[in-house]
Amino acid sequence: MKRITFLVTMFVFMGLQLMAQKVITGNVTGQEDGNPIPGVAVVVRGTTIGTITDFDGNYSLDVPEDARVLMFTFVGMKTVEEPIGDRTTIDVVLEVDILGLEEVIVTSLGITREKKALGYSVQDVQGDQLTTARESNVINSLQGRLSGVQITNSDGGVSSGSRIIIRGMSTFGGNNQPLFIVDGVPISNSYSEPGAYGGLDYGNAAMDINPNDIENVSVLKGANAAALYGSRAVNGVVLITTKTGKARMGARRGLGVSFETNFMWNSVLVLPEYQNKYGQGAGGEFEYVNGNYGGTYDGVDESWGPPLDGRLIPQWDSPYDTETGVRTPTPWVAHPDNVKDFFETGLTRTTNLSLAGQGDKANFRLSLANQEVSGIMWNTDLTRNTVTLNAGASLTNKLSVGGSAMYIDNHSDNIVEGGYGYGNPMQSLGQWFGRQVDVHELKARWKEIDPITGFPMNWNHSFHDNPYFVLHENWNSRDRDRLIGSFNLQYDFTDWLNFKALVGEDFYVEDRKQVTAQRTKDDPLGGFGAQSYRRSELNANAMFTFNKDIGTDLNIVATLGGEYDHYDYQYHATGVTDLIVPGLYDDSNATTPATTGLSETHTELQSVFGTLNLGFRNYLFLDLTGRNDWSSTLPVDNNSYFYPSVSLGFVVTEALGIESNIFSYAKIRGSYAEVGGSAGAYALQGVFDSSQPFDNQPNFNYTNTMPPLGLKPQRKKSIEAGLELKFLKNRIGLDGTFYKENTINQIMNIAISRVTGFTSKTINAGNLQNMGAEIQLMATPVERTNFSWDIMVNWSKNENKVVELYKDMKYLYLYSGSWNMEIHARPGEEYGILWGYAIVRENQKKVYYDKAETDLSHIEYSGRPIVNTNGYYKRSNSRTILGNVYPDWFGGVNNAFRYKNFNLSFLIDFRKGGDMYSITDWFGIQAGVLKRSAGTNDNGVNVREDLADGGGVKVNAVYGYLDSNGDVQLMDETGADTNTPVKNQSYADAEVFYHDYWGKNELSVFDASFVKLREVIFGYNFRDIPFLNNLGIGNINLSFVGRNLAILHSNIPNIDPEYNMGAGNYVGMETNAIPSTRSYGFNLKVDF
Amino acid sequence: MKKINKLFLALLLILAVGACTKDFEEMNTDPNSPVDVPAINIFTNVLVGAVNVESATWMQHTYVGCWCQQWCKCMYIDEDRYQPRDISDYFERPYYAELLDLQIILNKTQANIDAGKEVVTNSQIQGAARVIRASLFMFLTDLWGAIPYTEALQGLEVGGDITPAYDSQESVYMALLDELEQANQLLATSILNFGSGDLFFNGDPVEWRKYANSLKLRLLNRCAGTPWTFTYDMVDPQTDVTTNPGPAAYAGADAAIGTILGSPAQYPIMTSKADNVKLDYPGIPYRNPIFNTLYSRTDQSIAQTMVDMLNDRNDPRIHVYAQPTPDSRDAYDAGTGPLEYVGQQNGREHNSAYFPSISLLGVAIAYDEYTPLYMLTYDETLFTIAEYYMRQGNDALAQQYYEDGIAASMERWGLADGGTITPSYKGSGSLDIHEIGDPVAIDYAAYLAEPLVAWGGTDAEKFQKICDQRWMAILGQGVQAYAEVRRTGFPERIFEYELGAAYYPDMGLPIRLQYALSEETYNSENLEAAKADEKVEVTNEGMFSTNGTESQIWWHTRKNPIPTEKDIPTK
Repeated sequence: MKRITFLVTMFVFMGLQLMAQKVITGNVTGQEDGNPIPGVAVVVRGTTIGTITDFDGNYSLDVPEDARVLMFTFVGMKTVEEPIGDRTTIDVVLEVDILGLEEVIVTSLGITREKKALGYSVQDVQGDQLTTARESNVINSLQGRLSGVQITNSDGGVSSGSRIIIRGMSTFGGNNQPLFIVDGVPISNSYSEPGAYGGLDYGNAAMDINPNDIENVSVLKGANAAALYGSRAVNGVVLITTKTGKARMGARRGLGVSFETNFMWNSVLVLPEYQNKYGQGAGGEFEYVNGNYGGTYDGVDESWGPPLDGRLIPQWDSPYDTETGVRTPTPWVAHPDNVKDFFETGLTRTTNLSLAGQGDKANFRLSLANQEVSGIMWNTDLTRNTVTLNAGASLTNKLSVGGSAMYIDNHSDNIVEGGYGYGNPMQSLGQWFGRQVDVHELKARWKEIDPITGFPMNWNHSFHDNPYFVLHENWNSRDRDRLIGSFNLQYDFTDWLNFKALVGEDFYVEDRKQVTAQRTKDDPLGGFGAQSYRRSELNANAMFTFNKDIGTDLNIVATLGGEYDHYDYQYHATGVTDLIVPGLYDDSNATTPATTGLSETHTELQSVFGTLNLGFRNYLFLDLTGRNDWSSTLPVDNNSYFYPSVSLGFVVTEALGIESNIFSYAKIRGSYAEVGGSAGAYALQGVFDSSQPFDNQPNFNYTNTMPPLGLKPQRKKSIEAGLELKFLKNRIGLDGTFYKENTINQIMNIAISRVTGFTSKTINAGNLQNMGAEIQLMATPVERTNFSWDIMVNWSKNENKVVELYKDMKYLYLYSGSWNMEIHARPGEEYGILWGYAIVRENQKKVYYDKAETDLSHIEYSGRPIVNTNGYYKRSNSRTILGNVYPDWFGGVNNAFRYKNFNLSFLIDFRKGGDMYSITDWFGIQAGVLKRSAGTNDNGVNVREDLADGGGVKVNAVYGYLDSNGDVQLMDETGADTNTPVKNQSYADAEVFYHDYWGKNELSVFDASFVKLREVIFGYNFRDIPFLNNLGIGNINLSFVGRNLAILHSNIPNIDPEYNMGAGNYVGMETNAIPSTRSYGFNLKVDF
Repeated sequence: MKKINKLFLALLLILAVGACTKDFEEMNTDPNSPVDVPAINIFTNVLVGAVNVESATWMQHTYVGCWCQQWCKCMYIDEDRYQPRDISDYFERPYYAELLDLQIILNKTQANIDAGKEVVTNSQIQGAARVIRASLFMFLTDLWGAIPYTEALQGLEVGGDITPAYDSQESVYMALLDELEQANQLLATSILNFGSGDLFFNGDPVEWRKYANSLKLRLLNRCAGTPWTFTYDMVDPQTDVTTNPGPAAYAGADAAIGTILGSPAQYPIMTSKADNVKLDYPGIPYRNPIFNTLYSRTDQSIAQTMVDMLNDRNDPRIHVYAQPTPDSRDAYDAGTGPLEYVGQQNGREHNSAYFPSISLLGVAIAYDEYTPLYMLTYDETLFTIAEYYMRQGNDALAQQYYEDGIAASMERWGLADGGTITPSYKGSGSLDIHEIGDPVAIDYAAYLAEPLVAWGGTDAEKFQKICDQRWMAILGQGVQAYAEVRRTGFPERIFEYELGAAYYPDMGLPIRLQYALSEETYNSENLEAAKADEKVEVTNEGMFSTNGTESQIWWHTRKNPIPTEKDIPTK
């Protein structure tokens, strides 16, 4: 009905005649360097009549006689409004808007709007901030630059993923990351979730985007900003606008050529602190025979062996006589850098060449980029080549068309497995290791076959492979070929009505292969697995825009549009175990038939949407939006859902006519929005899964998720209020936002009693709330012709509260974790509880689920730990809250200085709170490799010495035990009950004491707060140098840059507090992290 | 007008969007997985899973396979010293995997029977399904006591909230006896094969009947009581402990056994090793799971208790169950000493294992990818009957079944009377197997004359011999062995020595497993009620009984000794 009404309205408007016209011409230049600016939008305010400036900054525009004001807008520059009056020539100088105070910003559906007119919070980052100090994963470059946006890089692997979370987690366990839109086309940011027990981090798909192609990244944070993108935008939207031929700043006439090259060297940022006093073994003994318990503790992969005092001991690399079987003992000495030396200096080398051109009717930009990354681990790499072409043309006065194609080849010959798996070299070097092992020998001898075991030479043969063998022979490759393309057209019916349509496609084929060579410990006969993914998302949308001033006070912009989104996915896998011929990874080369798998997914979303923006006297702005989605994944009778948003912006200073040099600008804004959400494909029906045939017999089992009845769309409700203030002629700006978002009726799988026959069922339930504040502070303390200093501060706090789960459900697994440590959502608590075994302490407090105190939830312990009379900790009987994995607040501070042609900037970012469970620490201490395991006790004696000689570990604790009710009972040193705490005087054998960490998760939980020096850039602009000008070179910028240079503060030992397990939801647990990297290098940019 | 046409065209484009949602239902039908498959193909999966549940996972490797002291975990011994990890999945998995699928099979076959479709085949499949169902529920109740039974597995029928109540072990046992009775009848409808997806018996309903009735014997024997006193020779200074007889938990057990044994036509039972219930593994991707776990890691061995029991009886099964120690092989090769078998004592300190002097599990047990895993064997059935006749005071039949049981066990492990066995071991390479030493002759008569084997002594001693022989015979069936150890109190060594590194000192052998953590969360009211009924204790993870026998499970009616003196290494 609504559609028909609109149609009728349209016909009425058709009857109106066009007004008489005149021509205005002019030139636009930049204030900073006086160069002409091409690509500036010149629009008659209140209409869609407009053009853009050409390469010389010139424009020419037919305007109606009654046109009053011309607006000049360009992303990154302050907007200028010029009254037309009688003038036919209007020249304008644009100022750079470094603080983003005045800017226009890209909003939903790619509509560029004045920030001033918005009733909600949007923040953006300019493309050049992503290229100078380059990250191979462009998402990382946004770290610290946006308030309310948490970005975490998983680890130091070559293709490691980057996780982006806007305003906290809005779903229980589903995808919590924003929708990515490139030039109007939704693209995949699918990510891998390796898990605690090993797996490969293939990164996140948005890493494919070449930063050099990015003009601007605009982040729509709340449901309000994203309401028009529908269900997929529940977690916000990252809008990427690419560069076109129209929009090149500082370019000269004709064809513009830009060349950029970047070298970044990457080295390990943080490694665990190891002890170098004792070598491999147990009980102080070690003697190597076959590395698999053939000798004295030679299968033990721990370092509780003899002191590293140079004594002679047969070792794995000692000379071995195959005739006599005699292994000549060699000196038992420390190799303090053995783990450090395992890592190399990686190099990221990027080259980018772009050409852009613009004529009267057409423009184009072609960009070629190549990036080569060599990892910090031997034989790991990433190559990315991109070709991007953008083109646009005005075919008639009314019809313009455009298109873009981005081809990406993302290739790695080898990436490394993470997590607790034998494929992760950090497992056999980082936390289980013989501290005496010479890693150079491992590298020199991995090709040799050990004459006793028949496996590659290695320090251990009971659990581990030679890590160099793993890196060289057991490779994991990935090759993704991707095409993101779109075609768009715009037709102007009149000066106040136009029609835009866009068809876009994100298509990729990704091949992965994991190869296991013969003589791998876990899989001696070798094999491989190969997977192929084919993903296609076709998106088409079309929209009418109506834009008209009514009288002098009111401006109306209205849109009506529709969207169609079709998603196809196909997965194909082949695997082979037991190779016949070593080293040939083909499915014919196996003693048994290859196992194969094939699956596909198809979904579709159709939508109709409309917006109405009312602007009153340029100080009061009201936006209304509405959208209805039809989703293929919901039950037929529930698959349509509508959601509205409303927002209001009020520029106080303008409304009240305040014009003050001190108090320059004030605006308040507020909004309310809802977003609907759909289900995953095929969630409505129970099905049978098949396993490999057993002895040729087919083999099926029923799924474990109870199919849902009457599933409904989920919904997010969001309310937001903000305040923008500017002082001292805009030298200081403050933008504050408060928001509250609730995601309700979530479509989620909840665990149920397994004895029902099912592990979980799909339901609508839950209420997850995010409430927080975001503050951006911008200041220009100094602004002189030759020197300026800008400060940009981002700060945000988010409280992510589980208001409600489902009926009397007590918790929901967010991650079932590892070694009894889990991550929970618990009603009434903050999202992301670390749940595991504590050590018992002198005071206890019982927490109940119910008021009557009959249903015990958990026991909280405080005070000093209790120990038994031998000085060992006591583990809690049941699990309890050990922390929360999400931060309390975080932010970043960027300082930018400019002196003549020099510029210097440094970005510091920080995070407060958030806990992490470190397996590196937990097993590292049990395995006796960490420095603490060979510390000195209060007798001044090494803890590993005999108790009789004053050795042993004595912890600050009191004696006690748990009585038969599970309650804490204090005791004295003889074990007799007492009411007064008796301080521990017992020294415990270090090896036993640290092995006793087993099961006691709390001992390795740490606060993951940090302060990091994220980025430093020091650059020089060579411009207006006659010699270069003669060569046709307009501008050269040379910068020395560094990323992740230092952890200035951290409370977590041995690892980077920012570690993340892949780019998914598994945060707060670290297992054998591949160390993160510090990068430094230079960037050279030349514009012709 | 032209303009209007264009506008109209554009509007049509928008209207087209959002207008064709009628194929959504078809689009959202899973193209990858079927919504319906034949019952027999589900049954195939259930059988593989059922064997896994009982004999192939860490339940066998590190829990009860070690607790019954047949096997030993030498490294990372947490479970072996009774410090459990989270074992929730062993409780839950049978419900959400095998038992759910069995419920689907029952529903499907019943629907077909009701509709008159292939009644015979469907009856047989349902009968076989009920046997496996009984076996899985017995696994659960023997380890945990009270379990959800009547209200379990209703997730298929109701979409709402279900929190199944727990049934007492007694009522579960009675229900399982009924279920096996039904199975016996359903399988009697024909002797024609019901389908090739049956990995145990290739669809032979007669074999399934034998399985049903022999399983029933095991069930009945568990609750038939242990009517003897026995004195344990506790380690000084702890005084010796005499234990009282354990009364029958189910008074009708022996009568029911009598009924089965008395009517072989109506209740056929196993009569030869051809009736053994086992799964033969075809190799990749279905290798013997024990092999799959152990061939690439060396941290498990034969237990000292098993080696001592076999050696004390000159038992030739030692050559099958274990490998000679590496040190003794070197000595043998050098001509300086004999081949030796040395087990590792269960529950010893972390760094006590010295593998050159430890015997790994035998090649046929753990280092052959095709070796079968057993669910129920002819030899165990014979020992069960022997025990029944002991209780009945029929000494001659007890002796006959006891001695037949020993012979059946020897045969099952490939030791034919008059034949030989050569010791073998796995080389240091991945899969190479070597023989070493001279063939050892096998002589059943000589074995039956061994002092510790020969039939004789008091009734209690005869009982002990049956129990010890059963415990030795069912190596690798740790779940059953652990049940028998608790029920009978044998092998006595387990109750005379405290573990060297016991996590819960002076508590003896755990009497039950901790319930699933997920049940504490998602079904807590019912679980708490069950725990209260069972008097499960709060401390020590509920695994022990400090209140006498109260928190022991239903058929566990004896109070076994709790040693306080630690096991002393013998070497």
